[in-house]
Amino acid sequence: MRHQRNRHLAISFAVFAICSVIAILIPEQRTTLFNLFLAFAVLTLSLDLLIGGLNMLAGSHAAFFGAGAYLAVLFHEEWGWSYALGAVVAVVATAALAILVGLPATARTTGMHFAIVTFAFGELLVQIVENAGGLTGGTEGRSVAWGAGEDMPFDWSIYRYFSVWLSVALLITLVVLSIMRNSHFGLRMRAIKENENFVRGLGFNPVWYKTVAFVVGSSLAALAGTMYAPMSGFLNPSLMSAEQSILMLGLLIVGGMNRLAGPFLGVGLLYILPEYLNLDPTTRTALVGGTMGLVILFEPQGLAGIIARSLSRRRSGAREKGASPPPAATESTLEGHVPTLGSVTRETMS
Amino acid sequence: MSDLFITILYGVMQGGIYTLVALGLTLVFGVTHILNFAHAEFVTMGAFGVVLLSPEIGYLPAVLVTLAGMGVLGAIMFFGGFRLTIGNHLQGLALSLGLLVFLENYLLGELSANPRRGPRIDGFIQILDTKVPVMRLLVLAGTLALVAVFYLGLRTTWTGIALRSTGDDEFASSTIGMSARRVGLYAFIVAAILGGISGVAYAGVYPVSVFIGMNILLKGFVVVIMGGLGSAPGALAAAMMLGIFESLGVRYVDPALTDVYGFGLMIVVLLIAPQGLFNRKELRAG
Repeated sequence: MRHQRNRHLAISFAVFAICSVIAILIPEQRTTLFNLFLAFAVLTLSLDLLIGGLNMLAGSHAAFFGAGAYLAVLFHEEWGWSYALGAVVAVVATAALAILVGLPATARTTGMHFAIVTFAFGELLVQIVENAGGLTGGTEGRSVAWGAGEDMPFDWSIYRYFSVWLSVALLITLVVLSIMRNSHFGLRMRAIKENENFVRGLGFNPVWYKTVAFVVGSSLAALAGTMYAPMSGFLNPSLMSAEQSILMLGLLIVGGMNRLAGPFLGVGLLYILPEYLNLDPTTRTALVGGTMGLVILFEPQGLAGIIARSLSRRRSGAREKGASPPPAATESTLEGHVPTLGSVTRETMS
Repeated sequence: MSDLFITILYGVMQGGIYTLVALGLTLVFGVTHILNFAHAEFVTMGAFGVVLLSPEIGYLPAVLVTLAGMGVLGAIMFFGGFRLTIGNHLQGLALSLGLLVFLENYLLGELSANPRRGPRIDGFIQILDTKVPVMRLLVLAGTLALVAVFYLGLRTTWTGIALRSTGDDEFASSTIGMSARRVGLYAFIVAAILGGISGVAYAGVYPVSVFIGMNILLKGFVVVIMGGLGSAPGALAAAMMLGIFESLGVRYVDPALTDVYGFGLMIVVLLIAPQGLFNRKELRAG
């Protein structure tokens, strides 16, 4: 387990190193695209902790993302705190909110009910933001002044700094995920995913593990939000709508759950590539929805699953000249755990 | 006094629309254990079918064509996708979410986001010194009549009995030849038509836009959760509760917070009775 954890940590730092190099070298007009990639990678990775790790289909991920963004901006602009302090407090406040929501939601509901409750909570938050009037700008949204036109060291633009900071956020996410998954906590999470009542029988309380995962995942989303807000310079309630949560889910499913490479593949292919090609948002979202439906029907392990399988097939084929059937996709970056969607049995639901 | 009466009347009308949506959701869930988010698009398409077709071929033919189209769409959805996801909850959920996002944005691209006005019968009827639009009363009467027909059908017709028995005990039903894969087809068709009807009813009273499906869907979920997933009488009771509750809230508290009441109510209900208010089955986490 420790060996595995160290390997994952090494991969995390390698990803961070690559991202920082890209952040420094990328041409100026592409920084926004790269920032979006990093922000959505953080969001999708943290969502994977819930869905891939625990089969908890959280519909509130975008809501927490938006909550982090709004809170950080409000702390900075209304209360006059420095933005960094505001961002930290915003993440902590969102974590507290996630405990308030997650504890009753995980204790009282499971499976589909959990999905509906979190969706409803997300919509509730949207309603609150829309009706908060001047503070949040209501449905029109509010612009974020911080960061624009500021003089930064090295003659870099502020957007390049956002790339660096988002790379750090990505590092934090990867490290948290690596440590959580390769520990006793992670083992129990996996056991809960397979059979919750069994884990209960062993004397562990699944509610505790699910709540912790929910809070950690949601806080990471909020962290991405605090950086997204000044980067885009504009906030509006549609940022945190259920649609947005579904979009993140789509990116994750197409990329592949339970694999480190999955979220990166999904975000790159379905979010950044259309953005690069200047597709309009409607077409892009329809594309995500359609691909998500097809992938979940025919290849529930996503693109990363396909790649891992073909790699292991080629490797075993080269070794044994195709004499024996290829082993299942054991080259997963996460301990060769083949992800299955929905091992919740029907008995637990009805 | 008359003010309160009219408010409750509007609440019942709203509740009727919610009932039609929730019945479809709960029927499909009861039989196939799929929570169909794409149900929202039956409502949107039903509403747009009437709005776009009725200038061409008249109101009544437009309604019939739309509902037939919805039935076909439901069958296609079942055969093309959901039949394969029976028995795997999260797969079905993810498929329906994908379909929802795809259809909504496809329609958005085709029809633009502008709200449109459906065909109306103008005029008012005097009830207790308040003028009530005729169309609202028609929608009220129509939805209530259809809900009654649906319950009667569920009790007496062969399809209704198949749907109820599969919902009650899937294994026992499959031993007498009614597997979830077969009865699921009926459930999807009936649900699609019910969704289409609620879209038609909605178009009679409110302006129609591409986003109405998603809004009504979330309300439908609130209803289904409160009434208990898979329970048809629960759906009716919960929908009426929500409709009247919302209507009172809009009239006497603050119209901007309509959705907040519904979601707040649902969260309270879930904390008190997660299996729903009208469900006999025990449901607990784990």
